[in-house]
Order: sequence, then C-alpha cells, then structure tokens
Amino acid sequence: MNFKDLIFTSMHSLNINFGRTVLSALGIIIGIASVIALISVGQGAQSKITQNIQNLGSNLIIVTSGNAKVGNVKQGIGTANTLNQNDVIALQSRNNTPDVIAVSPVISKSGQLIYQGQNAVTLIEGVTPIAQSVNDITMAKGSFITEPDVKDSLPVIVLGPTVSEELFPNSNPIGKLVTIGNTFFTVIGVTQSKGSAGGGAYNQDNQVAVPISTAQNELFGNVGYSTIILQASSANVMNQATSEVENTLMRVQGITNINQANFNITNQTQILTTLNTITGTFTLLLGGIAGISLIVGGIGIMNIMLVSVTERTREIGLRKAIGAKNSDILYQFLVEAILITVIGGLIGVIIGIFIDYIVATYIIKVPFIISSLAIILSITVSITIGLIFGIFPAYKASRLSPIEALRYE
Amino acid sequence: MITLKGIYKIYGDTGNEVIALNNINLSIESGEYVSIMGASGSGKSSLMHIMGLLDKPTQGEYVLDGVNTIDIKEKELSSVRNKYIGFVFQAFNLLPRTTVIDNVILPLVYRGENKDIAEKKALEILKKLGIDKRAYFKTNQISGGQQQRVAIARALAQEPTLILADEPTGNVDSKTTLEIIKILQDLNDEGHSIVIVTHEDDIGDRAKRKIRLKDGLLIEDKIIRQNRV
Ligand SMILES: Nc1ncnc2c1ncn2[C@@H]1O[C@H](COP(=O)(O)OP(=O)(O)O)[C@@H](O)[C@H]1O
Ligand SMILES: [Mg+2]
Repeated sequence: MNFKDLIFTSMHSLNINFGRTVLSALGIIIGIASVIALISVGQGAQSKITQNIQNLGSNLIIVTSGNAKVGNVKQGIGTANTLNQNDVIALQSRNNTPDVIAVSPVISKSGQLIYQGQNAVTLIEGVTPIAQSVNDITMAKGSFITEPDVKDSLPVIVLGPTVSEELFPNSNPIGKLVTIGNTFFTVIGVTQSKGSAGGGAYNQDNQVAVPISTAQNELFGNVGYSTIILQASSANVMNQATSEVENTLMRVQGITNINQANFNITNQTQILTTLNTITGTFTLLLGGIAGISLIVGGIGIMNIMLVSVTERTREIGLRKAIGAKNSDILYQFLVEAILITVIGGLIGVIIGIFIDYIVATYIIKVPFIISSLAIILSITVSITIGLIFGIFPAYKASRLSPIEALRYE
Repeated sequence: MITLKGIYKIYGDTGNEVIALNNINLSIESGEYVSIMGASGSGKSSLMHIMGLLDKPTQGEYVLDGVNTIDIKEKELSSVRNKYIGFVFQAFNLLPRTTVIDNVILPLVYRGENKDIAEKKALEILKKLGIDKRAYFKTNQISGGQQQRVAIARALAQEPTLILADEPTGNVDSKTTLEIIKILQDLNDEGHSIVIVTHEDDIGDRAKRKIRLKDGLLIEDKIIRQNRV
C-alpha cells in the first residue's frame, strides 16, 4: 500500500469512528491547549514585568536601605530607612561618582488617599524634582513636584493616572484637595500613563508623589530615605557606576566590608535578569505540569486504540487475508494514532491561543504573546506521543493471526 | 495447479490433540469446480485455511502453482495470498461503512495498484455481477445477497488462481443462494478455478467434483454430473 492510500485508509477509519476519534483526541487537545496557554501567558507576564522595569527609567542603579536590627538579628531588606542626606550629598559629588548623572532619594510607603468619600490605597512616594527625569515621567496635566515645593514642605501631590481615575473619574483633579491621614494635599499634576500593570513599586501608574520633605514632616515622621535611585550616564558604565556608588556609601558610613553594609545595591540589568529567571522558571514549571497532562492524554489514546484493535479484529483479519502485510496493518494503526495526536494538537493549539488571548487581555492584562516555541514544541510532542502510545496497539494489531481474527465474533 | 500430499492438521497439545485433517492427499487442476462436503467439525474449514495459506499444515506438503509453500517466507504470505487466492466467506467480511467500490479495490490497493485503474476494473466486475448501480453505496446499505456479490467481486478483482468459498450461501435466503450459485457456475464456465465448502448436498451437487471429509479423513473424491442452474 502506498503512502497516499495509507493516509486515506487511516483517515477513513478515523472518520467512520468519529465519536471514538474525538474521545481519544480529547486528552491531547486539553494537554496541548494548557501547555500553550500557560507558556504564552507566562511569556506575556514576563514581557510585562520587563516593560514595567524599563518604564522606571533608563540605566538606573537602586540603593535600598538596609535591615533593621532587633537585638542582634537582622530583619529583611528595607525594614529600616537607614539612608540619609549625607549619603545623597556624597553620591551627588562628581568626584565620588563620575559616572552618575542624577541622584534621586525616595521615601515610600503605602497609604490611603481620600477625596469626598472616595478612597484609593496606593504607594506614596516622597521625591525630589529630579525624580521626574530619572523615572522618565511625563505629565498629562499640571506639573511635577518643584524645588520650592520641597524647600517649603508644601502639601502638594502628583497623582498617577490609575489613582486619578479612581478618585476623579469624571472631573479634573488639578487644584482639588485630597487627604492622607489628617493632612490635606493640593493636586498639582497627573502623570502620563506608562501602561504598567500589577501593583507595587514597578507600577508607576498606581502611585502618587509628594515632596520628600513633606513626606518626612507630615506623613511618615522624620525618617531616613528608603531608596536612592541613581542614573548612570550610559548603559556601558552601569557596572562601573554601581561600584562607585558602593565605594562612596561604604566610605560615608565608615565600613570596610560590604557584608556589614545596611544597604543593598542593585541595578536595572540585575533586576531584569533575576525577574526573568524567576518568571522563566515559573513558566517552565507550569508548562511542565501541563506537559504531564499530555502524557495522560497519550495513555488515553493508547487505551482507546487497544479497545479499537479488539473491536476491529475481524477487519484486521480480513485485510490480512486479502493481502495486507503486517507492516501495512502496523502503519495503518500508527498513522491513525499520529493523525489523532496531530489533529488534536492543532485543535489544542487553537484553543490554547484563544485561552491565552482571553486570560492575557481580559484577566491579568498582560501583552498577548503567541509563543511560537511552545507551538512547535507541542506539535512535536504530540507526534511523539502518537508514535509512542500508538506503537503498542499497532504492533498488537499487526501480529494478529488472520484465521484467529476471522473466527473472532 | 494445487497438490496436497500427506497433509495433517493437529490442534491442541499432546494428550488432548484434535486431528482435524488426517493424511489428506488431493490435487486440483486449473479450471476445476470442486465442492468440499462434510458434517460440522469434519475438517472442511481447516482444509480451506491451509489451501488459502491462512494456516500451515502440521505435517505434509502443499504445492501451489509449482511452488512448495513451505518455502514461502512468513512476510511474503500476504502478497502470495493476494496474488493466488480469492476468498469468499460465509459472513461476507466486507469493511463496514465503506463504499462497495472501496471494498472491491482493497486487495488491489494492498498490491500497490493505481487507484483509478483499480476503480475502473472494479466497476467492470460489479457490472458483470449486476451491482454496479450500488458501487457508491456503503456496504451496510445493501442486502445480504448484494453483499456476497461484492465479496465475490473483490475476489475476482484479484484475478486469483483459485477462488475459495467457505459456505458462501450460509447467510442468504434460497432465492439469493441460487443467484450466487449461478454466478459461481458462470465464473467456472469462463475458466475460473473454484473450491466451495458446504454442508448442503444440493449445493455440493452444483460442482463438477465432490470431495467428502469425515473426522479429518478424505472418504470420497469423485467427478459428478454437474447439476446446472
Ligand atoms: N483453532 C482450533 N483449536 C483447536 N481445535 C480446533 C481449532 N479449529 C478447529 N478445531 C477443531 O478441528 C476440528 C475441525 O474443525 P473445522 O475445520 O472447523 O471443521 P468444519 O469446518 O468442517 O466444521 C473440529 O473438531 C474443531 O473443533
Ligand atoms: Mg467450518
């Protein structure tokens, strides 16, 4: 039997047993769909995180204040605001840090904003004017925090677009008064959306900014800075600038060993690498779990194929009596199994992409990415599964003796 | 054309063996029409299976068209069957939910013949057997008599040396039986060699030579006056 007739014969058999074909393909469809959906959504999330971090600005070095000590036990990073004005002044000196072009100290804490009974829980950042250029902020309305605002600790506030939308859905927020705790703040500006999603420090749309001095005097008490963000002059000098920052801070704080430092230095490149590793691992893990369902699907195919071989014993006997070789029967059943997995795989890919689209676009709001790697991989995997789990039933069928098979009732 | 020498077929293990064929010696020439008769369990099907290369004798020699079948490799048996033997079974054994024509060309497809040529040939045979109008019907949409004619058409498509029919009229009514017998008679008149297995005497008498088995022994082998339809 030639290849074309073989494919035709197998398709015909699958077609006349349509219900059984669909049942056996189901496991593969579900398996492939979940692999595609999970990996694609994972990649979408990863690209979103990358975008959020890049939205923070370019060539940033981030100094996070260190660990509070309870007795002699170090607490987690950022549990105490140990950075202060001396650190900032030292870092601003061109002699100390020739490759740094901007220094932006920040105090941040989450808090609640209230406007006429509406409230928004968000991240409140005390900043200086330089934060606007360092964090690449453009204004949608009004203006950013200015030098005089900081100098006089004025109660003014700049809203991120998400917060603005929450508190002022239908009106212009500029000039309105919002309260944080017992203090009234005048809204002086709204920032342009960066299209960030999710929460925390990496979502600049869901933040508000106040003058750093106001934050210290009115909101958080006279504490140190939680973060100092520095901008290196170019991407090429990131490592150099990072060590300049480290050396400067160690000298100012009078320590010789970095392990004694109560600050932590990282830069955008490192954050990206770390986060990508984490999300990558997570995506793989999810994909792997979905992959197990593929194997289960394969076993399902084997089961149904074995039943099918028993049911079709007479057919196999007849085919052999009139001229089918063992290999013809073997290939027929193998091609049937592979066709089931390939067609099931393709349907799974379509369903997976659809799920990816729904989840990415409407549920977790990350970019809709179709992972071509996942598609190629899952089609390859389905063919392999068809081969592996089809070979045993096909072999069994091919070895049936024609007389036994013809006698079979 | 075929020669069986000292054929034994023994089923089961030592202790509880069943001797289904006991020293059968038989030769059939081209163009013959032979009926194999005998009670149920006498060994008819066992003999058919050996002649049809579906089974091997426990002992003895079977020469088909000058070839000692013991020399045919296991792998080649299918192609040899495809070339030499056309089967017609009691239970028709057609592929279900498949068209008549696809059933008829099946042995040719396994032979690797071109499908268009095979279909043309199949249509001619179906026309000769009077069922060309059903060529594109599914086999489960036609009557038992028509199904058996499809099975005969399938055997004819192979242009076999020998047509082996095992109780071909066992599952059809008496009117259809006569039609099937007529077809076999016509085919024999055209020169086809036919061996028919039956337990009914009036069908056995339609052949030109009658062989009778009893408990695996060949007890009768004679030329008879054909009772033509
Ligand atoms: N596969 C088998 N295993 C054991 N005994 C068998 C087998 N096939 C047939 N027999 C026995 O061989 C004898 C002849 O059977 P068979 O050739 O089918 O006879 P018939 O076709 O004339 O009815 C019977 O006794 C039957 O029970
Ligand atoms: Mg029998």
